[in-house]
Amino acid sequence: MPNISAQILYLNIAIFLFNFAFIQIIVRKLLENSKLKQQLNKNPEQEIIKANEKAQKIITKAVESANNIVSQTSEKVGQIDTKIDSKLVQLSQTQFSRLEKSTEKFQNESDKLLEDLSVKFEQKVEAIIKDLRERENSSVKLIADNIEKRIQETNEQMVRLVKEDFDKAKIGVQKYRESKEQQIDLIASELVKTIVKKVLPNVLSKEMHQELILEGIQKAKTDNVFL
Amino acid sequence: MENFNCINNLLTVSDLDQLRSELGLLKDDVFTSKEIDIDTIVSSLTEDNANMFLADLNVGNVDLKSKDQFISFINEILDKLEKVTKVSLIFAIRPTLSNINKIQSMLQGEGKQVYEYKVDSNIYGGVVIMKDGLSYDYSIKSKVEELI
Repeated sequence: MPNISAQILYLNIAIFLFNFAFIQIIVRKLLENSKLKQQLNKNPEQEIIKANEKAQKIITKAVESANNIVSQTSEKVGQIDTKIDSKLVQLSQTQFSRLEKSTEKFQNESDKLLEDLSVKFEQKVEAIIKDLRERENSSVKLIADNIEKRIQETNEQMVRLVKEDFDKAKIGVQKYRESKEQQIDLIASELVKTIVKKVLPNVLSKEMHQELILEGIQKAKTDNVFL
Repeated sequence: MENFNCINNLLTVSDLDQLRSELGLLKDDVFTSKEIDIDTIVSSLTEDNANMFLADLNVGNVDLKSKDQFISFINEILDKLEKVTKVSLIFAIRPTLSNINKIQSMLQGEGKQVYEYKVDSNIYGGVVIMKDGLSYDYSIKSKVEELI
């Protein structure tokens, strides 16, 4: 461990060095400022023009690079869009073909099932009726007859219902027609009135108006309106 | 009195309204004035009405010194005025004076009634007559509507 006087010496040296460095920085700055001042004093207008040119160059460069960035970005975005579109198209095509296939399959299966059921049902009914007819039992024959009768009745009922619906629809159409005809009459009469109103003032002269007035009053006299 | 000249002389509804108004004012004047003189009568009425009214006073032997008699005479005229039939004649266009004269001559002898003339282009032509709350339509509009 050095003694205290040595420590003080080191501290003084350190302070000196620090001060020296600080003074150097200040001196350098002062020199730079004086140089700048000298330059400005020489030709300030030229310096301003130079500064402007520099600034212009910087701006141009910045704009160029910005444009580049924008164009690159749009290109990339376009590429991404195209990729997404094509993917979507592919996806929808796949889904659509799958759906088509499954629909077709379902349709075929349903048709086949319905056909099978229908055939089976017909066969069953035919077999039952045949069986019933072949039996000698009168009550069973009666049931067969009843079934036939019931089927006939159902048919008749169906025909009647359809006819009723048709008649109702016919009445509705007739009413609609009548209301439309009334509307047309109304519109036509309004139209005639409008035409008469527009045409008559041009057609009737003052003399004709006076004649019509006198004619009307004469008629009113004959009808004893004034008595 | 059965017939008053001042009423017989009336042709239009506005003539009738004017006479009624003038007689009303004359009645008020007579109430407030001390005595009735010709000047008061003449100043209260238009020239035609004044002449006819004076003639009526003469025919009716009305004593101008009697306020009561004079006022009851005016009231009698006012009552008669209320009973005069008003007839509205509606035309499509404004009638000319000569036409109005023709109409008036046609309507002479049809009983005392006064007329008013109105214009309504919606009747197209001819005439519509309104009397006693009834409408008598001799217009072209009604003829067109009949055709439709």
